[in-house]
Amino acid sequence: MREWTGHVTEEWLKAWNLQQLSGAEEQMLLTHVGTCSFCADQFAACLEQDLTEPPAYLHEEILERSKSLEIQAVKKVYQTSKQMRLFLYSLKVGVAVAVSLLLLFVSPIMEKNTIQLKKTYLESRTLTLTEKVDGVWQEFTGWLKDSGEKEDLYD
Amino acid sequence: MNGSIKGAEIIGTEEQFAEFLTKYEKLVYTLCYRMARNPFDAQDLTQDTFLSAYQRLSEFDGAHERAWICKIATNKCLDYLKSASRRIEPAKEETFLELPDRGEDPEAACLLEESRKEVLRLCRQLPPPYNEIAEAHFYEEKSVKEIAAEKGRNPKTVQTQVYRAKALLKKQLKGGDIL
Repeated sequence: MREWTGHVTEEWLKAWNLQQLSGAEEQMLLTHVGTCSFCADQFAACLEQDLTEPPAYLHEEILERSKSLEIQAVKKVYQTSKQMRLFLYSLKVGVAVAVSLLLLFVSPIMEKNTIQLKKTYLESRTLTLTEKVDGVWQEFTGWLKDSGEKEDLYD
Repeated sequence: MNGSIKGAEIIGTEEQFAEFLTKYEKLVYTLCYRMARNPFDAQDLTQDTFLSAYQRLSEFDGAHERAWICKIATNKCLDYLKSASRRIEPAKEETFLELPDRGEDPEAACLLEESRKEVLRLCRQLPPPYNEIAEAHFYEEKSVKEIAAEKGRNPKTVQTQVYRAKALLKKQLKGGDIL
């Protein structure tokens, strides 16, 4: 079996032209040509060196058949499918752009509100702490005062 | 239109598809004939290739049209080869195996004439009315419209008869009974 390098070579094309390829080799060659544009072009160039004339009626037959309802219907399905895919893709892009813009403009406002809330919260915390300290101090001074008054009673 | 056709949008109209067909018909037929090894299946494969291309024009990006049509034709031929009925090649098909169209080569011209004689022989073996329809279409290479006009028949009737004649000829090639 010939060495397959992953793409069609001059050697392979020549061998195919001379019908020297085995069934498996031909299968491999054609399977690759069916998927690779570069190799398909090379293959076409090889075929063009020795073309076979088709019958005269074939051209008209194909054109007539292309106008038939079933062919037109399938063509329409492919076109619609492509349009639908394009529409869905456009919709996805549109939504992504809208969300990005929303985040871009709403974000600073939200940030501003967040800072304000934080400040208010911190301020309220400070007052509470002060009040607590004040409360404790008042309690202490009250206790001191009470202690002083009791000593006066015993004098 | 001078030069190549570019883009699926440009091949979209009937005239432009006809130009595309004219440009690549020989190439596709050559490949299909090499793979099918008989003119009847080669014609069917060629037709299938171009109709498939026509249906999928919206998916064609417009670049490398020769490679694109060649890929479609190759895949059609591969499907043809893989189908179960093609695994065994009957002896009668060997008549067409060594008969490429080499035009200017005298030996090839002789082989081509032999091939045409074989087609005529096969056509004449068909039962009426398919024999005369087959001879006019496959041997004399007249179109359905021309045959319908000559014989004063409905073109759709003639078309149906051509399809049936082709099926009978293929069956004959494979060595089956046509009656």
